[in-house]
Amino acid sequence: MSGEVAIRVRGLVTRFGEQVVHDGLDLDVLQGEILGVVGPSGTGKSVLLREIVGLDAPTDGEIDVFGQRLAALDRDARFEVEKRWGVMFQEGALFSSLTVHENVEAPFREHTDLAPDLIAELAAIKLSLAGLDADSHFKMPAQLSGGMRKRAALARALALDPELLFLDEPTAGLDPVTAGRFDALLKELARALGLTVFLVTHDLDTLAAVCDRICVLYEGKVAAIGTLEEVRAGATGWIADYFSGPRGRAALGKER
Amino acid sequence: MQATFDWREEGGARVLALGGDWTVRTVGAVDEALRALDPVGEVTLDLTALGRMDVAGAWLVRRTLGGPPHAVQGEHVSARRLIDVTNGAASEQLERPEHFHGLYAVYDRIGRSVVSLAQETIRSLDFLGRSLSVLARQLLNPGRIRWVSAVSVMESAGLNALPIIVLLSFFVGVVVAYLGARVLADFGASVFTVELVAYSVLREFGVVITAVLLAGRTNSAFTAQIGAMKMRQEIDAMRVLGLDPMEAIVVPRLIAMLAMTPVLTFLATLAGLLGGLLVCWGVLGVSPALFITRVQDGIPIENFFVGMCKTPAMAVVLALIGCRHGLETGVDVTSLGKRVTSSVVQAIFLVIVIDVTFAVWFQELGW
Repeated sequence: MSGEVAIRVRGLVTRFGEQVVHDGLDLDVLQGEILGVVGPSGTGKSVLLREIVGLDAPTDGEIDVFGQRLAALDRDARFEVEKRWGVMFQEGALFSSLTVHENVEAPFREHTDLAPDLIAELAAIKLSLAGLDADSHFKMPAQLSGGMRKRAALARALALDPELLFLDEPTAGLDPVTAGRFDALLKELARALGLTVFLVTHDLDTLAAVCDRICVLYEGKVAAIGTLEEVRAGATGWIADYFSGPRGRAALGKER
Repeated sequence: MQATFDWREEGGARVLALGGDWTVRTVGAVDEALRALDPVGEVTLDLTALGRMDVAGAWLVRRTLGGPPHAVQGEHVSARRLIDVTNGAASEQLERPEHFHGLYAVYDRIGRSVVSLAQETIRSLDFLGRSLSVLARQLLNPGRIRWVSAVSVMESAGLNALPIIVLLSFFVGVVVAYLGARVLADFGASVFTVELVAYSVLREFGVVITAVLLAGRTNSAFTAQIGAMKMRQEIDAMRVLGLDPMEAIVVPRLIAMLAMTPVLTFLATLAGLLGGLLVCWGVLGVSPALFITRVQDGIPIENFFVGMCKTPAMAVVLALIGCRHGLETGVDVTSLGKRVTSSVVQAIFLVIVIDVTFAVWFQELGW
């Protein structure tokens, strides 16, 4: 982990009408780290992710990715930045008219000039890296179970070997065994590929198992950021409830 | 930096030396050259000059060597790990499933279409039977009918469709009258334009225009709406709460369509006659009063009933096709699109088939 900053957020304000979601939020995501973002429902974790990747515009504030202000870039320069990240949405968001294999091929076809054979090989590699067995490669997304769909979505997010990976609740709705495998997979891939990961989650097991640092959003600001131990040590209010509730204790017990 | 490689023999050992960046953006350049290489036996991998590497680069190395490298020279931050990871995943390279081509594909599709046509027919009849039995049961116990829902459908599917149906029917009346005035003039019979308009609008156009428009507008809305409910498991939620979707969804729509289709057809017929009347007045100089008198005296009232008696059949077809396809939607977006398409196509097809059947029947009866 180098000390360089991959994502820098300063003074972020997001308002939907009367509702204030982010209120002067500051956050640094370091290069090569896995940052877990937690917080109560409705504190704008997913909104933060969407704003960083440019799907939503913040009301006010600055967001720099790889040292570049996205909002100020022209179309081509933005495109270059977008090629360096991969995003996995909560429900997978696989294109339902394409097979799983074609879903992973799509970014290659769009952004590279590789030969079709090589693209097919690389898509197959990504899918099996993400842990999808050979039978499911040529199925339609609708034929897959929730866990398989998440794996396929991860394979698509990893397709172009991004440096920065955004994951929105990757383990939500998975059974504990599958979620555990997903965590292990994520950690292994992140280490092997040197990824920076921005991980939005509610899953304490995931936080404990894969995250280098944890960032707690509360009432529109970063309430705490640091390693799991640091955050837990200084925990008050909601954060204390979060980590020391029955679920928190069960997940983190083995870490003590 | 471009990806490069050097293939050499060093004291009996074969060495593949990598240079430059081996990433997804650069490896396209060496892909073909590497495919041409035939590294039999043990190969040493030289990473000394390697820049950055990612999974795509690692895969090319692994594909070229056909397995893990025999030995590695030079140090690299991530290359070894990447090649290991890729090696683990590579064992599962697989063939795409075969697709049929040429004539075989044609036969394949014809076969599938025939089977699906047969299945669709059986399912439609099954659904018709079930719907009518539920409707009959509910009519015996009218307190159970969801009147609020039915009236709401009457408004959205019936009343809101009124302007477009009336307007189009008016235009069709105009066109028929123009056609009559022009063609009949050749036989010196252009006065009979009035009869032409009255017969065609009363018997056919009023009801067919209404039904086709409802198929495009209302039937598709039923399918899309119910299909979306199905995708979001609302239909399943109804079932487990003890609500019968046939009672809660299908019957109100059926009742609404049965109530509204005759009304819409009646108004469409009037609009068609009005279109004919205006053309006769403007082009042939037949005054509105004369037009109305000719229609009243010359056209038996049976013609009006011939048109109107088709409306319940149309209503049943439109409501049930729309609901059935909605309820049979799968879990994905593609299937919703397919269902809406086949719902509209089947509805329009059946509207025409029913119309033809009635026409032949009335012809034989001599009405």
